[in-house]
Amino acid sequence: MRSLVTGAAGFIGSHLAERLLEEGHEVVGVDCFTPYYARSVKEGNLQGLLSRSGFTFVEGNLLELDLAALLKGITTVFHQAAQAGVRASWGREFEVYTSLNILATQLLLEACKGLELERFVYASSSSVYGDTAALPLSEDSIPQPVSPYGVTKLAAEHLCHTYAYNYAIPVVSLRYFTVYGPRQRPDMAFHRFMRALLQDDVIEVYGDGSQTRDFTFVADAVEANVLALECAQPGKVFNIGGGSRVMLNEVLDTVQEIASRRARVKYIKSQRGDMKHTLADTTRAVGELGYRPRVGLKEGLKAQWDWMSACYR
Amino acid sequence: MGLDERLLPLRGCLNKRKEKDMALKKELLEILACPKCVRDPECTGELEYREKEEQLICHHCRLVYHVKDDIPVMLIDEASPLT
Repeated sequence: MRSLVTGAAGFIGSHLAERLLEEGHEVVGVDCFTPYYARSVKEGNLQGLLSRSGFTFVEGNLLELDLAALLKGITTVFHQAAQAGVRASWGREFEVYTSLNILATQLLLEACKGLELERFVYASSSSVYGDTAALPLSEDSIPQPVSPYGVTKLAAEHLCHTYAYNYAIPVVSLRYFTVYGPRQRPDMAFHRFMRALLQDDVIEVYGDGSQTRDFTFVADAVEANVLALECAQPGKVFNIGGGSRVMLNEVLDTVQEIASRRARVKYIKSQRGDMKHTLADTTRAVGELGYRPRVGLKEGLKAQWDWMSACYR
Repeated sequence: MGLDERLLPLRGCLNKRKEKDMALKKELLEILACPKCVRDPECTGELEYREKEEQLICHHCRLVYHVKDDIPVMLIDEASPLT
């Protein structure tokens, strides 16, 4: 099997590429190193991959690349590339999000028309739901994103459906719920918390910390991608969550316990676009993909803490 | 302190790059084409690989794409004019 991983230098994409190599895939990775966070961090994500046989990497932008050439011999596509970040997606920056999240996805799908693809897995997001649907969030809830980022992820998800419906591209969309673990992006909450602890800095928490999330360890999100290859009925959307709803303040307590350090916490204004609560109903993924999250929050936080301690030592 | 400054220690943790040891793999060269040529139906996007110079050259667009640390950088903005 020969797989294309877009966003291969990113947090989830790099873990996924490693896992696919272990599964015996040949992997072509592509990434355009958008400047959302430091390039050197993404280069670090790639370190373990670049020297491995079976892995090739191209620095390029899906909006520019000759995708027909890139897709030669590819049997599975894992489209992980996106402009990340809910809070940064307002204002003029929205254009970047529409380009990299919507237009790039459409070009990739267009290039996949007529190919003998076994699977096209799209990395969607819980941010498509917004705040109106009842918890736990089911795939049948009407998505109403509360951030421009969520709008672009939903639009791209709809494009995947459109191309699956009209051109029989075997798409599976995975709605990730707040993924964390080693290599987590520097702007994400756990990374910010742990970095502040390691650098004896103040932890800034958006809102009062009572917001709840369904946190998903990165290896579980990666496992969902592998399981999506075996999905009997493509064309569907699946929630991929970690299996429990946890308040942000509880996470802070657990991180302090793992670190054996006390944090200095400052609560600041909540950010526009942030959802108040998320909790995935994973019934569909469990039933149809055989998905079961394996890593609990404490174990996952410990893994991220160990990684961050090594990085920031 | 900006985010990039706070990340400085993270940069320090990165492993040293592997020694430069190889030319671009054949299978990689087969999937590369000039991105600027994509919209030109008369152009194949064919690239000439100059291993020693670490360059991929599109003679049609007269652009040079660079290979940095064994990674082909197929970004139009990063390409240089062919002189």
